[in-house]
Amino acid sequence: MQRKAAVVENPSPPSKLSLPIATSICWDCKSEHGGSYYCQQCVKIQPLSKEGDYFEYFGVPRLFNLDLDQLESRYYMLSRKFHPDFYGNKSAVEQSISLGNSAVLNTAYQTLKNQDQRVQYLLELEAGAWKTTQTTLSEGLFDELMEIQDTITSFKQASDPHRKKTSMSCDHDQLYASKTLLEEKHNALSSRLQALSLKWDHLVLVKSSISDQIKVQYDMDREAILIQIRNIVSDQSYITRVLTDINTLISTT
Amino acid sequence: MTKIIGIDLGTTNSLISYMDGNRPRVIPNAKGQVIVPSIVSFLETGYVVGDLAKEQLIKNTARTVYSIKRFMGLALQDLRHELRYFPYTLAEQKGIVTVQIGSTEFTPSEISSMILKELKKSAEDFFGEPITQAVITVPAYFNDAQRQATKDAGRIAGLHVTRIVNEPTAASLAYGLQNKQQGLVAVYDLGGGTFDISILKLREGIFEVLATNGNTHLGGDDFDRKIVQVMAKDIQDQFDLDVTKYIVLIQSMRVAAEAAKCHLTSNETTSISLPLPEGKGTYTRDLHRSEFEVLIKALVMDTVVRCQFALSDAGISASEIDDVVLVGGATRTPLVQQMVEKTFKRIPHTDLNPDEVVALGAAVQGGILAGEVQDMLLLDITPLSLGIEGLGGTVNSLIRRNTTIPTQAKEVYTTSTDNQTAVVIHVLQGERELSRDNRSLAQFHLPLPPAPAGFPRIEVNFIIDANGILNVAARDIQTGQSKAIEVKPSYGLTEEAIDEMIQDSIKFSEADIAERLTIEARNEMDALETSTVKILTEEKGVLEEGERNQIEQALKNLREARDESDYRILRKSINELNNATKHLAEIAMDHQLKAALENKTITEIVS
Repeated sequence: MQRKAAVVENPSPPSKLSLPIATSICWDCKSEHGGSYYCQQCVKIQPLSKEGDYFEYFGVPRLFNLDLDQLESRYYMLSRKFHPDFYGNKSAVEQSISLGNSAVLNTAYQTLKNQDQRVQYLLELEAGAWKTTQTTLSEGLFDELMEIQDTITSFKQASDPHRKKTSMSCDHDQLYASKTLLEEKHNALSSRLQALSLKWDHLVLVKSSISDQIKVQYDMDREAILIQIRNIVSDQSYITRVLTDINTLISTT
Repeated sequence: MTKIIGIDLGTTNSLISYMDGNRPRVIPNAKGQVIVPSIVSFLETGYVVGDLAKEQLIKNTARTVYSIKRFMGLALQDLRHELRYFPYTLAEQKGIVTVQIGSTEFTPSEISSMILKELKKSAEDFFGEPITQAVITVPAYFNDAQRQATKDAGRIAGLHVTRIVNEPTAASLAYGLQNKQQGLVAVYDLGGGTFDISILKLREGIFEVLATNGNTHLGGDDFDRKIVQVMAKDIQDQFDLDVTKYIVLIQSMRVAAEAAKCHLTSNETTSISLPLPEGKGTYTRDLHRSEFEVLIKALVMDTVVRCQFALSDAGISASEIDDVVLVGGATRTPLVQQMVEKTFKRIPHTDLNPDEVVALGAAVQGGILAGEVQDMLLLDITPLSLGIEGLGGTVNSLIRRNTTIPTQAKEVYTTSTDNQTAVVIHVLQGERELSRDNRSLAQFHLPLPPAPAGFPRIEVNFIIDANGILNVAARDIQTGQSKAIEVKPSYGLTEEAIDEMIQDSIKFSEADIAERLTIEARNEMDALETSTVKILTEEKGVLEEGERNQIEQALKNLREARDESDYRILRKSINELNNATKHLAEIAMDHQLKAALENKTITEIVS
């Protein structure tokens, strides 16, 4: 019954589950509570840090391929800590923290659980300096998409009832050919993305063991991989858009 | 620790339950019954609920309210397609549908609170102590307004509603507690008036809802209605009688249809027999199960399609489902069981009592909230997408359907024209592209200082709590003023209205019912007086002097009794005059109306 879990080539690092919290001072008793979900003095729930990222919340490394089973277990474990069901008899402040933490936790889980959303989120998180630079279509793909766009336009004209029907069947075949071509391209990109993402994950997992000498090279590799992944994601989104167009066209004519 | 009881407030039946150690149990009333029909009947002596009210369906048709759940959180406009099926009068007050009983209008929340009070009383008798907190179930596909209305009903009944929980999810709690099964479970819940399908993942005591779908206006009631339509057509064809003119007849047809449906669950054929008014004799008909199945096929198909939507939203295929749980009385229908089996490719689980399982689950949730039940946690979702209206009447979605709750979402918006002094935040719920096709939940204005178009930054914040109820706040970032706006529901009761209803409900409870009865009797006296005088003038010649004197004496007594405060004296004078004018009424009936109306008082004939 389990849905397919993503394959992780390397064993996960020892899991350390300490959530980032807003301050190290308890909102209520003002004592230093030492970074757990509850104040060690007064045992009151503490709000999640706004700076924390979703990977940190779950205590997992920033990998493209996550062990979904483990993610789910942690989600359940944290839900048991934060869910408003367990704060019914607590103060209004505690109830509100429980509500806020649960809401963040739920969003974090939804994001990391879904492959596409997770890739998007990780890219944004790691984007750093090149966050604002525009992505452009990779070479070759631009020309191909332009050509297919022409096919779509001519198909639309041909199927316009006000025009004389000329080479309708030919256009139809072309449209299907374009569709197949795009689907193949999309799949090829997915395979490349998968390979790159595993490479990235490998780099993340060996991070602790790299020496200072290769640190510079290591960071360059990481960035190169990220940029490639970002371009693939961008190419794929263009392709998906054109594919949607074609599919609508096919289903409506 | 305060006890938190569980309540299944159903379209047809309601139940109340509690946690007995580790086991949920339903609570019987004084007569030992656990199922309370969700019917309220307004009598001369006050209102009655449950079985007593059910007895009134045919005797006291226009003042007996059933299936009130169908109207929760709705406006009259939402009900235009089914209004004609209800024999009691529906009206509207400030966008909320109301039931009109005599001169008083009741909101669906008030009627529901009467049912809740009855259940509360059973529990209080059972425990010998007051009950103040409850978990109440609602269909998973209920929208925000419908949830609010349910919560309001609880408040009016004097209950603090600690949680609104979805019916199929509640059922899964009871199921999970009993079966200890892990895996993917589909809960197919077809009740009296609503349908829900929920897909859940059960693991390590966590009940995670993956997707839900449903129809809040599809249930066993609609199966009955299909039979009623066939009967109506037969009666028209065979007896030349338009049944829509006789509310009592329609009610009898509905009751007969329900009985026929139930009989067909375990029999191949059933026969319907119904006396007709106006001496038209008796209508009889045999109904074969296969005929019935043809009638309801489209309705059942609707549920199947929604099951497929839910599966697709959950991202799983039917064959991955480990178990299917049937909930709700209408799942006893053989066709429903067959279609469910076909859809999920497995025989549905029928060990649980489909009438009780939701109430039992509500008690489990109550136990979780009270800290009595450990290790179980429900992670539910919001069934419908939420957003705000954007430029050109489109919907800007903030929270997608099937998002786990609690959840929150934030979005920043700006203005489209220069020097706009305010923006309208129109909160919508639904899956359609255009705002007008979705449910309007609330609308409010956020004032802005004048600025060029595109300059202001307005942050809109949505938060859905664990009850699935939405809170919206908007603030103008530019001015640095955080201005939280209280959302006034478009279709809902205001705080003041609820307080007023709580007051009223006290007024309408046992002690003060006398006063209301007096007022109602007085209204009836006035109407009776007017019509008697009118008819006496019109039918001058037909009465013998003795009879005429008798009527006039009764009329005089009625006028004299008018200012009495004891409603029983008023009633007596009404009965006296009604008796005295019986013969006159019959004459008038012959003269004035071709369509004779059985057992009508003179008021009803003249007015």
